[in-house]
Amino acid sequence: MSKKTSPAAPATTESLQKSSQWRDVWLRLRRNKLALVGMAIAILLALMAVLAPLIAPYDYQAQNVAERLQMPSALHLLGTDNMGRDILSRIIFGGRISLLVSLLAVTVSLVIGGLLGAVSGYFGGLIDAVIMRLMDIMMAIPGILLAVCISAALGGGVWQTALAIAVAGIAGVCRLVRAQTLTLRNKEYIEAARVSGSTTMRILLSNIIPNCLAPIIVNTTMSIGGNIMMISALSFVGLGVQPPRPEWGAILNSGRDYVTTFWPLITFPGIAIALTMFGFNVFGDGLRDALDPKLKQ
Amino acid sequence: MKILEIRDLVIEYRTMDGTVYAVNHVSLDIEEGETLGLVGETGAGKTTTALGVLRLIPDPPGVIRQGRICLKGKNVMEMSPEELRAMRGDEISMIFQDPMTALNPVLTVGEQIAEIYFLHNDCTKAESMAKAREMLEMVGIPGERAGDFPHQFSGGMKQRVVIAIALACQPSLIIADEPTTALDVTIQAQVLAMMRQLREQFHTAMLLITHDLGVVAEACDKVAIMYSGEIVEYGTLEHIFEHTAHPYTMGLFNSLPSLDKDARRLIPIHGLMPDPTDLPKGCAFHPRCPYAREECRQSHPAFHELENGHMCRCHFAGEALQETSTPETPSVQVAPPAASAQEAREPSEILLEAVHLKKYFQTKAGPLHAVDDISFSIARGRTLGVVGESGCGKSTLGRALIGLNEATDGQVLFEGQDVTHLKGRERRMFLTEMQMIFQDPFSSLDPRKSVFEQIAAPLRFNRVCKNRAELERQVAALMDTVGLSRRLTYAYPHELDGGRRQRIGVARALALEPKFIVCDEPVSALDVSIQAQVLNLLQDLQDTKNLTYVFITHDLSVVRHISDDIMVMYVGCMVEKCASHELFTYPLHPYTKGLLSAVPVPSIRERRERILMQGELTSPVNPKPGCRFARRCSYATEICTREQPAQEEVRPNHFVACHHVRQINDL
Amino acid sequence: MLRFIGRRVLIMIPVLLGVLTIVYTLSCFMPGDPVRNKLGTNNYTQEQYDAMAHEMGLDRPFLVQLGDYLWGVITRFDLGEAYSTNRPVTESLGQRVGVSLRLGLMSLLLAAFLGIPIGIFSAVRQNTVPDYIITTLSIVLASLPAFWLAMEAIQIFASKLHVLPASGLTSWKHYILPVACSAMMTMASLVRMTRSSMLEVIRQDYIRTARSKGMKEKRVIFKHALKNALIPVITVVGNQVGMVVGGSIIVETIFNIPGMGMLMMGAINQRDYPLIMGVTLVTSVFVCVCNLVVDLIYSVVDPQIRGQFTSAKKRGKDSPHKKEGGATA
Repeated sequence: MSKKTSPAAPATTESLQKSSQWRDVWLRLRRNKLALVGMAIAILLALMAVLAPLIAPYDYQAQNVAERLQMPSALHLLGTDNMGRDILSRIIFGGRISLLVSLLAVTVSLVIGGLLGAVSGYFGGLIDAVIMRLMDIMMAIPGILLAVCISAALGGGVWQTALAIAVAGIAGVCRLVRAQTLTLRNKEYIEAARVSGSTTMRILLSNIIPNCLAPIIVNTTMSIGGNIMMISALSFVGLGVQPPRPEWGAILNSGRDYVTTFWPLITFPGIAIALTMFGFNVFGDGLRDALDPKLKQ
Repeated sequence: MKILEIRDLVIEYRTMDGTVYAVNHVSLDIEEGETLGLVGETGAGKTTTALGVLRLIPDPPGVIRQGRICLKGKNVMEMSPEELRAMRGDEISMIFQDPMTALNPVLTVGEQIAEIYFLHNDCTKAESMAKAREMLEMVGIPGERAGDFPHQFSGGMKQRVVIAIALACQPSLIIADEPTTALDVTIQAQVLAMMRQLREQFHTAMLLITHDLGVVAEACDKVAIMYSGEIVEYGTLEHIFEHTAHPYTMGLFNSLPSLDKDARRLIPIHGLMPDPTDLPKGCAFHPRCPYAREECRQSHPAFHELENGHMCRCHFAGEALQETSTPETPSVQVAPPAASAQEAREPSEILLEAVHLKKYFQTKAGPLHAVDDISFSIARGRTLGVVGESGCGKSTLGRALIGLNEATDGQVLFEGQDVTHLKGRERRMFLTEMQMIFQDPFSSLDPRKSVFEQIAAPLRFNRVCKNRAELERQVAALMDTVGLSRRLTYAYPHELDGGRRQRIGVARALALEPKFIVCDEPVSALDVSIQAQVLNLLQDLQDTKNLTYVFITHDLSVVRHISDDIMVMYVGCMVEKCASHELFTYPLHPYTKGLLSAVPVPSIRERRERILMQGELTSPVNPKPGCRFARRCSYATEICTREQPAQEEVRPNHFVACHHVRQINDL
Repeated sequence: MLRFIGRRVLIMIPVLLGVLTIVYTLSCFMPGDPVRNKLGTNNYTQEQYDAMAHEMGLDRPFLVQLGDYLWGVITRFDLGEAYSTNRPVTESLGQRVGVSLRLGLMSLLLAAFLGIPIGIFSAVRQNTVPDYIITTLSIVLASLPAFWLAMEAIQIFASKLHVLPASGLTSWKHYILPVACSAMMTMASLVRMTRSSMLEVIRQDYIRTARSKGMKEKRVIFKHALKNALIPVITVVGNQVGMVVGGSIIVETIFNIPGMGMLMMGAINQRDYPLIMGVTLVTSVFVCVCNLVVDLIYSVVDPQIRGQFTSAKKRGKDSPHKKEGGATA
């Protein structure tokens, strides 16, 4: 009888040499068609933002009173606005602003909220109590009102608007990260790291934050969409990014006087916002499903 | 009369990774009033078989491909949905494994019991509630608690409620899926005794699913051993325990640490159960079987009948088996241990000492006395076993020793140096001497770090290695030591099984070459065959590296197997401490006696006299003065409720904390 | 129960003071000069300016102004005078609050009472055609901003079809569009949330237990799964209150509804800090009260939470032992 080989490990271990978890995530994400659509929308939006000057058919500022309020045509695919500017070009450049401000805001609220949440959850006690009461206060003000107040205080402009949106988003991120940290704090591998001689800072950076990542990534993806809506809501009420910069909400606002008379000025920028939100929502949803199952095991 | 007859049952799950062959051609019979034990390790297909009987396989992805299931002669496979519903709960009822999740958290236990009676009997709501109260009383819970919600009950009590639900309609068959696995051993004894009594009272047949051969010996009439979805051996209790025929069954017995014999080397079954999506050709067990021959690799063995009713699925059933190969031990590069490891290790100087150690936690209801005034010392190279039921504070003790929970009071001395309140850098320096192996191999490893990173972490943090190459060498050496294939260096924890994960935990603890390791339930999450592998590894390492262990566990046979001395804890206090063999042959404290007698023994010859302990652990929050065990102790007198007994050296090196230890034991 | 409510109301007070502090601080950063606005002209002397600043109390140190303002709010519920109208803020608010809160509450209730049942329906019919339609529709609707929806609604229902009025708030018909628009997004996300929560619960062990008892699927769903599935959904409803109210304030302005939205926009344009703070305070109070109600509902549904406060006094005596006791009895 021949000598047996040592019992085989689960079949997967053979080929996993360098397989990373992110590859698994991608494989699972790929099966989700809707999520891929979302991802495509997000990528297209990013491309559109980067390449705006190349793809926009007209100068977004070029006014032409003779051609104002034109319906969509071969010349102006989405028509022209009340000052005769090409709506398509304005939407393309508007997306640039929206995406930029949204990304800035997401980053800021992620860094501040994430850090506060991690510290709050990990240390607990007084520091936790203080941070959480602060967050209670911020949660009590409806996000859009808070953003309106901050934006009114700081004035228009890309940075100011980003900050206004970011602050409104901090409490949400903070709570999410805190909840994650709380569940992680009691995991044995955190204690194992402590026993291995890891410092608190190192545990936070190398064990806690990477393991909070999945829900944070999902939340961030969805926030990008949510923020874009918030930005347009701000410019819609006349705050936030100021004219002549085209912003989707601002275009909508300029269409307010033409609600009943000229639909392209409202419908097209609205579709842009909705499509973006939709894209990031389904992409986030797909990511949630793709990031989750294996780690739960 | 035959209550249940299963013939050639095949159940599959269709998943994205392929078809899982969960149950393959299973046949079994249960007679009226009889208990059949269905035994096997995780993933053997036991629960799927049980759900199949009730036709409760989640579909999709599960499909019953073929087979006949007859309940009292009626084919369950041909029943209409209405007939099935009428059968479930009334004819066959089920007790699920985890009482924590089996009860609906938003309904009162009374409603949950009354409901099943109401569904199957023509009665009013009030009558069914009355029945619920009656059932509660029957399982030993006061009827007035019917209005309470599940979260207000302890685990053992919840399982009693689940049993009350199962019995409410007096079914002819109960399927019990690991009914006591989640419970402590004294509670398990209570529940088993109660189930036996109720079964006799109602003359109910039972299909008892378990992985614990002790429970089988205690409760079953017939046994079916399951492996990889097949029944590999089937027979009466005597057939299985006395005339074991299948190599897998033998392997199960060999990997069990025994409560009675002194330490011997366990013989684990090597390897793992095959992936159910990709079963090996031939006999499913052949890759792990020490007797496997060419035939086993080629053809699937039939079910041979050895003697009346003793069936065995092996090509060589009935023949005297000869080992054809010694399966490769995951190479632990150590010499085989001396025959009697205990004598080889002479007690020498004290390595670690705990002096009046206390750890209290603040809770809303008052201080929780997790560890209350415990003193002991451990000599270098020895193992101190700490046993106790869940909630007795044994884990907290281990964590207080290593500083994960800073002690409230008292001292921990390591090589004579006070290490109780070390902080920051000093603590980290000290941790190179002292390490810990954690309980749950699934949560003690960071899911986002590869095996290499897990093992390298302590080396990195303490800057042991000068460069990457040295680090890689060291990690590879550690993986060899614990018997992990180097192929797995860059694997992630979720890709590994429990045994391999626990080996990573061991390698990580060894990385800094500590002198002392706290092992917190290192094998309790593992199947017996894997458990034996890890226990052997720990013993070998102790022998070669002269390690000192504190071994925390709730499993008395494991603690006997591995320890030199044993300390028994009860609600934060030490009740007894002595040498391992002495504790098992000559226990003095009434709690220890009860605890020992509660362990089900995997043997049918030996029947132990059972001391059934009533009640459950008292709360460690704001404990009343007096002996913590007094409420459950049959010897308790007035002094026991008034004064806490001091620790006393009753015999040489045998410490007991009990007021009446001398009277009870005629000393 | 009363004690619990009392405690929760007490906790609200520091939160609301915090809200005021934040908003007051922010309002001081706002560009524009309330004093000059108040003078209403550029032709003023420095003396006139100082006198006006003094009269408005704006020449005092920031912390004193803040303390004075907070004190006024606590002791007299005095939110100050609106700079633009010289009338007490409470008076301007008084006329508007009712309208806005009514709209907000109606939207919230609509979202909850439509969204949750649809979500349950969709979960129970998982993988059927109605389920696909509902899930697709809800993910699309969850992406439509309320203020755009409002404009499109006006375009379609008011100007094209002439079935519903586009502005004002004089008949019940006027409510339909604003309420539907501000509720839509939250409703869609509640559908999704309820559905996934329900599907999650159906996988639990106790549902298997319920099935093994031999009960009808309908009973399993409604008696055993529903309450459990609602617990996380209720939390989400609580978190969405702010969003709904904030959204409906913007929607108001589109429909020309004389509520707090218009007031707020006007106040921002005129740098009327007291008015801005008044609006924010009122909405925050509303959000807090809604959250309190949500917590109460939560405690009705979840016995574990209920246990935490109803039995606080009952437990007191035999407290921690209740859990363990019983088997000894």
